Amino acid sequence: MSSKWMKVAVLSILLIILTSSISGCAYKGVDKRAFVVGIGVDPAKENGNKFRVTLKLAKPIASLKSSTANEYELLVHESDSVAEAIRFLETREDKVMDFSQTKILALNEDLLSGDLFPLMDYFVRRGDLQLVLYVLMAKPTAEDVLKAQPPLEAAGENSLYNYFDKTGTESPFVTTTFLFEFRRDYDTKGKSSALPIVEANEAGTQLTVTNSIVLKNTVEPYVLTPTETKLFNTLVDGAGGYGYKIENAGYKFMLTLDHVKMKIKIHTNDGQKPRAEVKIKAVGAISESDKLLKLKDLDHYSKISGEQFGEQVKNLFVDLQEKNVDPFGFGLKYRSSRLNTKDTLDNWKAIYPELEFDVKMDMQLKSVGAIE
Amino acid sequence: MSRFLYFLIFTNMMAIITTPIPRILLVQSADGAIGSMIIGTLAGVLFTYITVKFFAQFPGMDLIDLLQTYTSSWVRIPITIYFTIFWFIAGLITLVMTVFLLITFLTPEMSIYIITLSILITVFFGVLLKSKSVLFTLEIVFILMIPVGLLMFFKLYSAPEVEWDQARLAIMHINQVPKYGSIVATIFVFLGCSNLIIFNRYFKEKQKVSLLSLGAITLFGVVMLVTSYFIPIGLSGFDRIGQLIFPWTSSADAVRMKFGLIERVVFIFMFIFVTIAFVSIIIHWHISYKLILSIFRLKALQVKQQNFTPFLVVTVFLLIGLWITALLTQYELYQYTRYYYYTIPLFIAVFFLTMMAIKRGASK
Repeated sequence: MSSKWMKVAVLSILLIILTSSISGCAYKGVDKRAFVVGIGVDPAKENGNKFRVTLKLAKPIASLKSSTANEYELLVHESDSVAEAIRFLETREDKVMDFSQTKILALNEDLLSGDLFPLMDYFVRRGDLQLVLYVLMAKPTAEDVLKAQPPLEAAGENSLYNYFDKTGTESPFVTTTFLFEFRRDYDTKGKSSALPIVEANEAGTQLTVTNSIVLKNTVEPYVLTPTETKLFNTLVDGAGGYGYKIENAGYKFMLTLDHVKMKIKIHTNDGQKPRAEVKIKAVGAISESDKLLKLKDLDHYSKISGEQFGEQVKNLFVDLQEKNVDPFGFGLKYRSSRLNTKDTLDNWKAIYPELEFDVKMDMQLKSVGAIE
Repeated sequence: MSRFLYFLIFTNMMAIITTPIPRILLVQSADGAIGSMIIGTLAGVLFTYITVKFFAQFPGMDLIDLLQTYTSSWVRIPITIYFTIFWFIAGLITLVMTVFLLITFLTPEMSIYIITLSILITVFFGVLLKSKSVLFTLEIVFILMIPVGLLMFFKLYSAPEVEWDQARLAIMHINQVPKYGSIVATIFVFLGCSNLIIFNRYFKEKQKVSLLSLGAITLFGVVMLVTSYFIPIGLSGFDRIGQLIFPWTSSADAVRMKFGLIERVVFIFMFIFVTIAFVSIIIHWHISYKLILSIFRLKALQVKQQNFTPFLVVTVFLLIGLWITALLTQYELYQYTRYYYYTIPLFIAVFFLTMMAIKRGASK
């Protein structure tokens, strides 16, 4: 046999052997997998355990036409650690649990005070969990939120996703926080992380997302009111939408903002009080008014709404400062704008309570809507 | 300069993602990493310049020929053995790291032997190719990867998920004393041109090193370093970046494509970098294999016209690869790799001394 034929023979044998390895992902086909779409963690109800873990599994459907309702399975187990609970839950299903599609991590309010490190460990350590999953605070419990099934939820859909990935509703009340973002902001000195609060009603038919909670390991969690949440989202993500209420100079407006941009600069000159210069540029329109509006006065309306908006923003900053939380990352701005020394962090801790906010508002209203 | 030379240099730069270099740099992010990267880049570019200049004097000859022609065998054999080991370990590091990457992110439940074997079977054939075919393989992979690579860079630098304040915070730590470990790790990024010791055989025309080509190499190296250093910081935060074992992959997982082919862009990235890692292993081991064959050929394995020593050598490579991969823990991988990078100055010294010896022999 010539060496050429030898090579061909060896290659063919090898290829034939290799085909046997093409038997699905890691030798487990998709029909042998159960996809976990959400994980919920609550404090345990029984004594001796720490966590009550809920897994929401998607039930495979033959086709979208044949199925009318959405079906999920919920598995609950209490244990000392998240990993252990999940290992126990794996024995309740005949299929292998696949976490690569998990998009929701719901945490109970009671778990969020104190250091979150031991709780978050498992989710980051496990490499096959996405880091782009949505973290949220669940009310009254994570189990209830995962269980809730709004009537509008169609087959093959998960309404919790739609809130956060901005393909469905885009409301300025909804804070979107990914796992990597949560971890990054929580760990960064000079920034606090914010989580959306998802509330399920008692019947389990409705979900509401209007508030946010600000977390940092060193301080008590602080719940933002809906108005504050809206402002926070607007400034951080540039998320616009309806519903910015302005009451100034005898006018009552509701504004729609198209886009908002914020720039922060920290000034610490000698002899002066430390000052944060916040430049905000907002472009929008008036969507509701209690009086007739004149088109030629648009600049005036811009001015008075700018004044009021700036005031609201400033109040929010001062509020957060009093609670010693910093979701806007003033501390990070400070640290990233001067050469690092070993005192930088301590300096910032002394500066933040005394920081003065100088909000420079540039409001540009482009229209008054369809009528004057 | 020939385009293949660029491919060799650029592949080595891109392959750093699947080596422990990003982590070595990021662990020292508050401790002089940026200064080290600057020094390492300058040293690396200088090394590239000298090496390419040297081999340009001997077009069409590889190191084996040069050593055989111009030096005596007591110089030749130890140097060849040293280089064999150096290149073999370079490939081995990429192999182990790639396997660890796959087992952590792609298939956590799969056996480590199966993963390693599935890589090694391809590598087996890659290493046994002719040197020229290795260069062509490299070119094909490179051209196939360009669109995906461009998409990756566009995605990373335009992602709203990257918090540039974190990167700025990292720059603010520039006022630290550079550290030896990070400097040598950065130099490794620029060592791609030393692959000329085998591949120079196929560069028959005289290579000219223009300022432009040197600039292109520097630019590409800097872009790769910046990407592998600042993007993880921007995505995972500066303060705890040292905690991540695979900083680059964990961070790339944070980028998503809402309306793209797949939402988790990390799989596209892993596709690129595992492919590049494959080619990188093949190149390193190919050189290692060529070097060892120049001093070692078993007569006993001669069957008619065919000598089976190459198969034996590569099989030994694979077995060592398989054994080491199964043996090492993550900690050991990082620790031993660090020691390996510590010896890079020694390598450069030996490399330059060899060059000088060859030049002296040639001028006689």
